Amino acid sequence: MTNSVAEELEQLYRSRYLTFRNGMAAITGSYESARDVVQEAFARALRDRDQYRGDGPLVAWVWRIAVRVALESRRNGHELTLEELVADAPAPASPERDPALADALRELSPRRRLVVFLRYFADLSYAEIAALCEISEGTVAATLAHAHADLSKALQAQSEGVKFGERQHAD
Amino acid sequence: MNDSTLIERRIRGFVSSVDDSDWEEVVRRAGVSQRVSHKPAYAPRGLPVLRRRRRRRALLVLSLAVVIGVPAAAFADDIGGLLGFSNHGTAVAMKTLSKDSSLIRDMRQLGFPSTLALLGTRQGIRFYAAQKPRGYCLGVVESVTPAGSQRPASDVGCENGSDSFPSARNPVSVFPVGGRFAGFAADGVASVALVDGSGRTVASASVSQNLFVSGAMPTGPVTVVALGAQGNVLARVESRPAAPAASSRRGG
Repeated sequence: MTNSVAEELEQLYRSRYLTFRNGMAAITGSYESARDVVQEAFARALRDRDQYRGDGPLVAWVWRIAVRVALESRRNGHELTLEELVADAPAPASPERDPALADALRELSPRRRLVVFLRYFADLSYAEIAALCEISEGTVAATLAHAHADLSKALQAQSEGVKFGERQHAD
Repeated sequence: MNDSTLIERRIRGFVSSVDDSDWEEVVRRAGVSQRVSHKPAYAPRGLPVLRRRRRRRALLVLSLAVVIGVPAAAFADDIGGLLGFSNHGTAVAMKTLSKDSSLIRDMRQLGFPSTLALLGTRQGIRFYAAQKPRGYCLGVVESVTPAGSQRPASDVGCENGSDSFPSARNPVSVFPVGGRFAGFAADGVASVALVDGSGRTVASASVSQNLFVSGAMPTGPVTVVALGAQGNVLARVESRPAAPAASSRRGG
């Protein structure tokens, strides 16, 4: 069992490294820190592969480890949630590519931003996002739809020179 | 194109495609040893990944084991001590395995030493093993080219690790090759069975001189069961179908 898991981990790493790294970059705020998180996450997964029970997708298990590693790296003595981590992140990792969109993303609520990151940076499926965030797939879809609406409004407001102010979200 | 699609496209524009992955670094961080292998780019989907190796079609020209200058007996003793094999084999030079230079190149990349032991031939499949300072390399090569193919199938791989074959946990090492399953078994393993999820034995093979070959490789998840002479279960190693082939980023 564990040897086949090790092989699957290697295959997962080789086939999906970029999605892990990019997704984590959106959370940690830089590709450098994201790379370190991903390397450490896969190392832990490989070391602790006996703990993988096979009752869910391996990719989701590794993502949970990666998130844990990211949280630990930013914890500074107190517990953080994933949403808090995302809220603090200066993501996306390359804002200069599209400053307007980067600003709009920063204005999203942490949960919406997190789902957007996981969907488009990490390229996770709705099911994988749901498993990682411990929410339903329907909530993932709804959150993503809300995020799209927010981003659309924000980008439109920016193009019209209107200041994009504070808003309340209730996902 | 609607707003959502445009936004999605812009978001994806942030994503970097620079690949700075390094699996070997992961392995070092983990502090474990693992088989170093290349993923077969054309491995049939659904084929159980028993142990991933470089799997390929390669031209096999060598039909006679070429004994090189290394004393075969001494080499065989080393192999036997390391692998727990009674089968000592005959020393051959790696470069004589095939005229296909890519196979030799890949074997070098995997870490094969220049000298191997030809352990035997079973049902048209040649079995090779090689000692390394911290592990071993194993390979199987079909001795004939199947109809419709340019090269015979081969499957080679190297690994390190305290738990790696042959050990109590892994007394067999299975290689899917040419639609069959072949492999190596430690001393004491009399037969090998592949069992599906319902517990049904879907393939089996008797072990002779530490080697075995059986018929068609099942396409679904299987458990590899190593059996002793009395039919007693020595070990079970679960396997699952291979994930879809990865993109061509790395690993071949």
